[in-house]
Amino acid sequence: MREFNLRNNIGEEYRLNSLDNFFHTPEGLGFQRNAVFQKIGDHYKIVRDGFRQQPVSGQIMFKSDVHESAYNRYLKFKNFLQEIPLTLIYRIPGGEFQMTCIPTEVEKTEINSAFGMNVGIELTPTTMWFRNIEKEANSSSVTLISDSVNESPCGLRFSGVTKSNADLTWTQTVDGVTVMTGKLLGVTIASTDMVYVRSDLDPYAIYKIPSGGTSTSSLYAKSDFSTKRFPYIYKGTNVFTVTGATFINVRGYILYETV
Amino acid sequence: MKPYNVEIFDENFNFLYSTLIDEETFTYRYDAISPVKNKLNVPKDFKPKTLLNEPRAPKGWFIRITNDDEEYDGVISGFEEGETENTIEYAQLVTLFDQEVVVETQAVTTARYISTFLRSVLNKYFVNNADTKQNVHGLTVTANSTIKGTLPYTNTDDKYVGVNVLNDLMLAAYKYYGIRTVVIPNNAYPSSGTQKLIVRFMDDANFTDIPVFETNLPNVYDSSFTIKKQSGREVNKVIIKDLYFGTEYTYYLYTDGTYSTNPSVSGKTRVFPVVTKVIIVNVYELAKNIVDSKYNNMIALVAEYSLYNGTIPSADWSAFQSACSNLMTKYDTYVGASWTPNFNQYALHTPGATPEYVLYPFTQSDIDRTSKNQSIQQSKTYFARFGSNNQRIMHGTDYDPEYNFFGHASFTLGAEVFGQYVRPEQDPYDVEEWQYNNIAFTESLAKSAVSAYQNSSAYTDEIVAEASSQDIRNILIEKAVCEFNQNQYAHNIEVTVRKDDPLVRPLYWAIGRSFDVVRDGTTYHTILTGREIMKNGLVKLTFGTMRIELTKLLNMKGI
Repeated sequence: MREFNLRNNIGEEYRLNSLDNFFHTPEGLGFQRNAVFQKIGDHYKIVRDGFRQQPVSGQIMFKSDVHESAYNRYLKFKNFLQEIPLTLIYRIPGGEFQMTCIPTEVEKTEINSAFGMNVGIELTPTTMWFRNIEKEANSSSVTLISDSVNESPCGLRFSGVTKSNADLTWTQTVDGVTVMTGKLLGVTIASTDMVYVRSDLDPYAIYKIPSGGTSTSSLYAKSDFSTKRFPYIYKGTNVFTVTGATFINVRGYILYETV
Repeated sequence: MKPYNVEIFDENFNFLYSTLIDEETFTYRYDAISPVKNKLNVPKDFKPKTLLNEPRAPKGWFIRITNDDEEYDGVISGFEEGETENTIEYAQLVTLFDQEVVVETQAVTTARYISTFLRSVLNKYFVNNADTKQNVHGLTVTANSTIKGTLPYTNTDDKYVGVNVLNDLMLAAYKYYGIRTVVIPNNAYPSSGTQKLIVRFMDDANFTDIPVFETNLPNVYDSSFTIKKQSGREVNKVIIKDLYFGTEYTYYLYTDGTYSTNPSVSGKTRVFPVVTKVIIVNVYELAKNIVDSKYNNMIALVAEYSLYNGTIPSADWSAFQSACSNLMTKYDTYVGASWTPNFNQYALHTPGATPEYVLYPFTQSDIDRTSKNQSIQQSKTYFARFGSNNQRIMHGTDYDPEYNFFGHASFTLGAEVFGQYVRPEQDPYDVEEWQYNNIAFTESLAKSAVSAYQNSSAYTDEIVAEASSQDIRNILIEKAVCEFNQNQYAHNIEVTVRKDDPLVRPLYWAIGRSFDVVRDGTTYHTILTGREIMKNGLVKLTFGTMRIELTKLLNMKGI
């Protein structure tokens, strides 16, 4: 059994599998690619290849019954939609996948059947489909395994810094090959501070939050610019290691074109 | 696909902020022959602000764009706000040196590394400039090329000439000698480091292999070859006739880009058909330029003494002698001591005496006699042979009559040093701070010494000796090579491949590397001079020094 849900920007969830408001005839769950080819004789060379943004669309049937009219149910949905961006949650036997999106079209109608009001909706994604992933350890390294060829953004979090003015260093290997290193230079960090290195933000960020979370201070300018610094999760076994701290957390999104 | 990370730094390399841009929209061009400007579309909310969050036009700030192993740097030249996105315009870092300066025409000679000369110019005008606004913050310059030669701007009789550092010096050195200017930010330790920007002058002498590109292979998406044909006359043989000695030198170009005076080097193939160019020279004049420039600079050791009894302590005099000797060794040049006294010429020494004895005739009566003859303004420079034939020492004193009272007198010993490497290049005042016992090292006027030298027969002897030396031969070789090089790379070859092509690796090779590009069995020896990252995921590599786009031709300003 599949299930669609929506979550808005203030954390409210809207069930689309309820008989009161049921999402049906979905389209756009596959993918399109921006592949460009060059014809050479009787074959084609791929010049470039990339993911194409493709809306997910479908119909929502708002039920009219003795408890509530379809009009009222639609008005509640309209209020829910105002808090963008939305997250479309898609649960299937293989797992739960999400996609951040913006409602780009809603086809409001009248009650058009004995059952209620059928409203068309188009959700345009701002991300690919993704699966949340998070691991942490009270040690110097954690391991994540990704089954996607898409480079997936993530955030690292360290604490328990062992030196107050440490050269905090982090590295990432994928299937044994070092793909990224990062370093903080001459920064005063308390053992209770949380240090974040995030490629899942735009722009990228490196910052620390002291115990109690009362302030945030950017450490970007104190990072070693000669290193890559920002982690991405690659297909294979990803091992993240930190030197100079006793706790590490990795939280990210494994990206998929279709699920 | 990972986005590109765009980082902005102010003119002092303080990090300001960053943003992300899509990999598919990013394009970039780099041209070592005709520097270009690139445009970068950034999100609408990406607006230039200072560290204090004050809005400011970002002109002169630095931009760095990275993605995995790719890195592109530039200096921001413009910013434009659009309706949906903003646009940053940025130029290649080397355009920081697109400035006019004054240089001595003889400052770069065939006896000197071109890279060393270029370094001295950058240090003078962009590191130690008295107008500090023109200095580039944290600039460090290294000279990693040992190619010697002259540059086109030296072909003038004027002692000084105004040149554009980028066009007349850097690009000329690249075009004629393959000395490329590499400008890179020192990304390590951006916050605390003092070296923010590094300039290296280097050639590909360290590379023993020459990569080969075969353009007929299927991984090459596109290629174009524009080979300059001067009515079919590409010079591959140069005959240089010397009017002074009547000697004739001939240089032959081989297909691998090398040259020789041997018309038939074993294992190599001469360029065919033979096209000859004749150059007439006068090696005496060439040698005169060398000797002039070699001893063009001048500094002096000065030791001041207030004398009670008319003698300088022998220990100090020995120290002075030792300092002169050290300088001669250090700079491998002439050391002289001069005197420009206000008194009678016989006050100090006997012509021909060795330095140790020159002061002995100096007595109280000499001082008295001198003071009585203050109106006698004599200037005498004495040369005494000292050491080997190419080292001479002059010695003497200067006399200040104001201190001549109650039998006290102040005298100055001066030892002038003149030679090509005398003035340390990094020193902002062009003088080496130096102290040897109580002998201060200062710059002083010693023009008369050089003038006297240049009027002597010894000077003529020196020129004739130089004219038959290896230095002159080097000049002739350079003239020939210059002819060959102008033709060797006077072409435009463009090869387009995928950015991730594992065979060609288009992002891997340094600009300035030598390559052999092969098309239909013909090999073109060339150098990589440009690279373009295109929007469709392809990379265009440009080889050779010729440009066929009109805008680029105009940009080249006659180089």
